[in-house]
Amino acid sequence: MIQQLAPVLVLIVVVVGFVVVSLSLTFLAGPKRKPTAQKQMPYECGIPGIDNQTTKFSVKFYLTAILFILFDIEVIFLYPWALIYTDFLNYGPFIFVEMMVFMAILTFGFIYVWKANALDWD
Amino acid sequence: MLGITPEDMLFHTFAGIATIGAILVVLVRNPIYSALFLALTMCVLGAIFFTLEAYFVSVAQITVYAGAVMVLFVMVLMLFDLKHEHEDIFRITPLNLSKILAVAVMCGFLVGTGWLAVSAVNGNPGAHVAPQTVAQDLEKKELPNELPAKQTHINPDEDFTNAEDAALIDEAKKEEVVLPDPNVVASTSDAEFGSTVSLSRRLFSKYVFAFEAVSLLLLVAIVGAVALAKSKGGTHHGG
Amino acid sequence: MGSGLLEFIINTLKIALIFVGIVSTVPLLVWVERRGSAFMQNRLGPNRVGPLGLLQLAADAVKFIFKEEFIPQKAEKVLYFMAPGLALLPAALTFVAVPLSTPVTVMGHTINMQMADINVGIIYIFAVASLGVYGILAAGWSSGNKYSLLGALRASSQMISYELAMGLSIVGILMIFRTFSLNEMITAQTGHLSFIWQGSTTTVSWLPNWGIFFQPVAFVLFITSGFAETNRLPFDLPEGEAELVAGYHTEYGGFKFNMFFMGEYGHMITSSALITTLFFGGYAIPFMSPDEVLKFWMGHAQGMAGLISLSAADIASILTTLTHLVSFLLKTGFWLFVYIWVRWTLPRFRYDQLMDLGWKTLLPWALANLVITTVFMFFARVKM
Repeated sequence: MIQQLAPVLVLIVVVVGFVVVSLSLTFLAGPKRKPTAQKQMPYECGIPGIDNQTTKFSVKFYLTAILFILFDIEVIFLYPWALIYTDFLNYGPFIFVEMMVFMAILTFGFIYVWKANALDWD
Repeated sequence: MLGITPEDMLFHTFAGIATIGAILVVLVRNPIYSALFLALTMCVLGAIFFTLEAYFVSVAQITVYAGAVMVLFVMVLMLFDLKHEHEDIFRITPLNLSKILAVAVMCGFLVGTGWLAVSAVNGNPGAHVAPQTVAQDLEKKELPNELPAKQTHINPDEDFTNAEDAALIDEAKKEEVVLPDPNVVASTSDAEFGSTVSLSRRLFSKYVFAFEAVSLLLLVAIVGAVALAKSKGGTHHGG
Repeated sequence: MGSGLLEFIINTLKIALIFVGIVSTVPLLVWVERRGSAFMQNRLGPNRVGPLGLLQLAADAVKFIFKEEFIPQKAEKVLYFMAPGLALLPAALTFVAVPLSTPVTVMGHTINMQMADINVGIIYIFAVASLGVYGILAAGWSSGNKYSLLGALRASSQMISYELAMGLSIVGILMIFRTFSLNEMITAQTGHLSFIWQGSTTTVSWLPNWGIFFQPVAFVLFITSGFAETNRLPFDLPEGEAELVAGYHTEYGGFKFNMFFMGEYGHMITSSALITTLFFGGYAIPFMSPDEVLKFWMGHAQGMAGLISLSAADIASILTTLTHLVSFLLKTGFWLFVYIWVRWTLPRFRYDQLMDLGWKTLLPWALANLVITTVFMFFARVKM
């Protein structure tokens, strides 16, 4: 376990060190100029924007994220099943049928989502 | 050295980061930072699972919790332009008092559950507490990960070898592919402890009903999410 | 404790070396991209700085360091500074599990040619890749620019949709190789193509035992999702210049901007490495198993053992590792070139076309591939 985890932790330290070093290098080496009003404004094609307009964002982002969670859980269940599938085939079609039932139920869900136009226009 | 193994240090580091992250979730003002700290806590929980040799659960935790659920939270929070709430929690109002009462009840519940769990583990001779045995394994210089994933014979501890299990072991040695008894609690010194193969063998044979029930649960969630979005006018054309 | 410390130092050096390798491959890739795109567009790319313009990227990197640091007025300062690091970290972490070559045995020490041999290799890579969304979201939101935020949300929606297709497409490969570990997958892809049908093994001797012959549909799905995951054309609408200026990294300049690009190219490198490992045998040479290569070099190492103070077995091991490393680099380099090639060939997808492709085309195809593979393997293993 620790032989697998230690390199990951070391790499995190290395990357964070790299980021910190390069950012401090830029901080030290870059010219220090006073911020003007023009430079500080958010960039909107060069035209000064109408401020504080809270744009109404679409609910599609929420729907995409929720559907992603649910189908991601299905995929997570598929991973361990795929490992033992061929071993369990020695015991008959049970392992095949149980996963097909699982996927059929979720495919019904997917078809419902498709028909309900929840995947459109994103 | 001081009797502190690297596993102990790792555990305490991860536990510390997770606890601090969880506390910061409720303490920071900006809700997006809260969500990001919660995502950090989820990742560190995944790392703790990894140190407990539950590799698949660790990856599933990071994929689903940190990589999907918290992404949803962060995305939705960014869609709203929330103003910071400057509310003084220490003012005496009925709402604040009931919040404190709820937190106190939760703490009592958690402490009680933890006490129960620890005494259950101490009372059961078959289960081992992980860090000790991992240290023992390291002393024996055992590397369970080097063995191939398809190893199927069991090495049960002396604690629960009886006639039934002995017969099972003999049978396992004869056949090429045999399912280990899912009722046998694995010991941390097994080759297969924590391997995804042993987890999935149990999941798809003994716990298949729970597995199918999960699919129904997901279906309900899918339909619910779409219905919720539709009721807010989200899925009509031109929306 | 002494030998443990030595191993720790060797491994840390190896990790730092591989990370530096990735960081320096990125400028090389950008150079290939700029010269290659110029070639495809019938013009000259950078050719003034250094021979063939190779030092152009070094000049660019130095230029980035000397750029002015500015923070937009409405930016959230803490997250604004952390976002490039948040984008770079998952890109680097995904490369941890990729095997670059066979382990080399020198003077009794065995060094693995990968940063960590994680036993849940491929799903670890997907898990960490899914954390890359946070860097994009943090960058878009903390810039204080609502167009950056919109670009970030669209980019992250695109990434998570294609993560789904990617995860689903490799389940067929997992069924065949029966392991998550990338090393074991490479070992399973050595030799000639052989499969089991109705209980008996058939061998096709003129094809190597690669994953692409078992799962061609999964390969197409995987490479398409790979393009979308890394936000490369034809899926780079979130960075589309005409629509959103530069999307989530509009308000970033200097080295922070560079770090976003390093993250993107890092994802690209890992994607290409995964394609070669899953579908094309990874570091293995077609038709020859690593043991055969080792035997081959053992025969030649006897002569060299007299010249250098290493034993013949050590020299053979080093040469085997080098051979496999070259093989891996060639294959991965080819797929990186394909990434660049496609970018300058295909037009960009519109956003709703992009999401339709991810949910309504790739996902059903991945499910169908899975079902067909399942049925196929059922009939292959169960005698009828």
